[in-house]
Amino acid sequence: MQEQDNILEMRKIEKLFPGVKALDQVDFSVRRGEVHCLIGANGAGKSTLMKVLSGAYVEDGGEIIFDGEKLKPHGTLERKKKGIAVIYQELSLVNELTVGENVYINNYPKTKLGTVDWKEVYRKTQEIADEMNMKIDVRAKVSDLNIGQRQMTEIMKALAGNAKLIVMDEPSSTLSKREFETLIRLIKELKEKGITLIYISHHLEELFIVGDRITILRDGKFVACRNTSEINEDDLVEYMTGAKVSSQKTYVEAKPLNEEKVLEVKNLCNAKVSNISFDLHKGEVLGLYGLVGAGRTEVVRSIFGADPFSEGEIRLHGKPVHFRHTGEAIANGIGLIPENRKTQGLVQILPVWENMTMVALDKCKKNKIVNYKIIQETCEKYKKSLNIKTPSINTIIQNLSGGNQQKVIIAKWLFRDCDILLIDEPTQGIDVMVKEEIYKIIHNLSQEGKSMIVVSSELDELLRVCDNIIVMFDGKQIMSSSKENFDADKILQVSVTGRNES
Amino acid sequence: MRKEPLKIGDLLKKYNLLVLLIVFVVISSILSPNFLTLGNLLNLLQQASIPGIVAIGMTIVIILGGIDLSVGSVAAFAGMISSIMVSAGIPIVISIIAGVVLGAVLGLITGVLIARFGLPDFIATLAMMEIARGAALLTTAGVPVFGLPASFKFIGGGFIGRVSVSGIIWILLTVLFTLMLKYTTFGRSLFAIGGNREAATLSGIKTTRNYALAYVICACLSAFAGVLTASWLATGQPTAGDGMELNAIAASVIGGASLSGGIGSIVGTFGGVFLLQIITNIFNLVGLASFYQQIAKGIIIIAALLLNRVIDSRK
Repeated sequence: MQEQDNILEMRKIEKLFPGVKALDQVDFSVRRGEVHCLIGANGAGKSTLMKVLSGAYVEDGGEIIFDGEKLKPHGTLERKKKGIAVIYQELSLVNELTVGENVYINNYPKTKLGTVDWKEVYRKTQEIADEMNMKIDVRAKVSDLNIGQRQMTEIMKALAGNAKLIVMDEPSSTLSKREFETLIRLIKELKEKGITLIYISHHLEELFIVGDRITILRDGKFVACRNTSEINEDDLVEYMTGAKVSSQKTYVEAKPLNEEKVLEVKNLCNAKVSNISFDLHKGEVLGLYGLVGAGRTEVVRSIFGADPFSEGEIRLHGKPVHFRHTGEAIANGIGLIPENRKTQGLVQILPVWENMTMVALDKCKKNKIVNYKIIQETCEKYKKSLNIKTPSINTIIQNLSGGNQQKVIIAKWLFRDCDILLIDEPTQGIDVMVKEEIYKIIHNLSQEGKSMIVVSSELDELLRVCDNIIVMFDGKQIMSSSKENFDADKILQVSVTGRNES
Repeated sequence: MRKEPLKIGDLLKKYNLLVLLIVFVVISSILSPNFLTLGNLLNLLQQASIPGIVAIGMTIVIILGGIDLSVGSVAAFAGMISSIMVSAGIPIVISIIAGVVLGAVLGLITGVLIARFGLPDFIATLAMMEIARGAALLTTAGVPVFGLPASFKFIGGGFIGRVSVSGIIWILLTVLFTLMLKYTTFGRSLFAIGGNREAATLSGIKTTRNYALAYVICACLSAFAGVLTASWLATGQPTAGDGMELNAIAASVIGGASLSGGIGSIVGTFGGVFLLQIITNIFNLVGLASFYQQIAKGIIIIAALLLNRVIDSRK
């Protein structure tokens, strides 16, 4: 087995989440001193694998051998001590502290008296910075730094902790071109120092610049591991997409769209997206697909009035609208089921009924007074029709499972009776059974003449429920496809590469 | 199988304040034979009424996830304005309304600063606490307004039969705001905003407006309490209401409100105010120094919250 000098070997790693196998017998090995890229589409299991490595998750099966030693599940701190550092996309620095303080936050050098030796903190931080040829003020506050410099601070922090292996999760996604060049240089410096790197990115071209080898994951399974010199981008896309989706064609049949346009979006621009244009017809289910961060959520939030848009036009039933407040959108028959159930969709500490009636409490009134009998009847009705599993409608909603919570949020908008429903990640973290039920609800709503925009990271889901799909990449709309032309491989390929030839 | 103990826990949690109240009433009546007399209980009601009215406003703000430190100063400022107007011969009703309107204006300022401009609740109301106190002292250069007419004394210090007018007002306001919280869209929105402001916004609730409005209500109630204080003492006292905010926060929390927002009840707060007043009362009846009262109050607050925690962790 140990024919090469592998610093890390993860063997047959399994990780189960309710209803899903996030990692299925994944093998992943990294040679000492290399830059090893890890790629895969949304939900392929990259982040989960790295969380298992960092100790944030405990694997359900398999073993991890690091530097010749079998690792026991002992949490992130233990792994850090062993020399595994993870730099997450959303960096984990304390903004109000200086670079030096952040670098040594876990092990400040001490004076003889046991107090923090600040001179030594900054001297040692400067030493690391010099070694790495970083131009950074070690006494600057992190909040005054740009993203690139913050990343440098993270790298220094890893080095100060004597990291042997550094995992970089999407390091380039928020960097400018110049900052990215600096990052490449830093990676080379790290390599020269004998430090091993795992590099995760959505941007395929980067992998060929920085990586020695690439491991591809798909649907929680190991697909391949190749030297970057032996393969090209097309091979990668093929590995990432596989033949997985094209084999199962159990989608609803294509139907002619209703002529009536309920929503027209023209050249919509906001802070994250530019020139988004599409029409939504009565009864249509329109999908927005793209990698996480491609700008999908930003589109629906702008339509809903939750975020402003700078340019472009939105027409509702032919009339131009520009909602400044979500209440205006709701009054005009638009609803939004937000991306994050816990932090945006629910008021966790309130009971089921209160969450369910939150957008349409005025419908539960008699003589301008909230009528609890109507509330009771309404909630019981939806509990039954949506098959919501809760001991009672008075149960505090955080005690429900994710799927049932999602159903309550759906009920809340069904009760409001919106014409247009914007659904962001309808089934994230929900088990297969409930997923099916939610697809059925979406289908029924469209039969009733409701129009929907569904944002999802799961292409299968969109292929199933949508009449049309728009693919986004980096804030731009790069492809549209209607049901009769759905080509899963093509959509996946375009969403990953950002290029739409043909 | 797990259902039964859960239910008992829930009941205990729901009525733990009642249990505490009963315990204290029993202890008090053992300590002093005078405690459980109608006269003393009515006396208690009268004493608790002014802090009680302030605590209603505080609870509303706490449900929203905020906190209002300015209640005592706002009360003093409004009390001074009403007193000055009454002593200048302006009709009593108009003077009282003027005091409450002043409260509304001050509440609107803090509310807008917090809800619209994003100042932290704690800081904005701390600033208003200073400003209103300074303004109250400034009205008469720190001198109390003495000799208010007897007709002004009715609302804060008068009686209907043996029951104090302010006590009746407190009970009526408790009922009114309990109904408001339960039966109006505005009332329900406070729980949603306090529980998760972003989710409330995404549900179309006018979070900014309602947030500011809650502070207006709180300040109006505080101002009204200030007017009652002046009426009760027959004196406009610029230093009145000192420490009122802490008492109101304590009563809300004992009454089950959560400082992280989304949870609280006006009836609970009513009980909380009563409990704190009983402690003062019994120490007075027994004749112990007020220093002990403060220690006892602190212990009660901890005990009430600890009881909730214990019940919660059992679940």
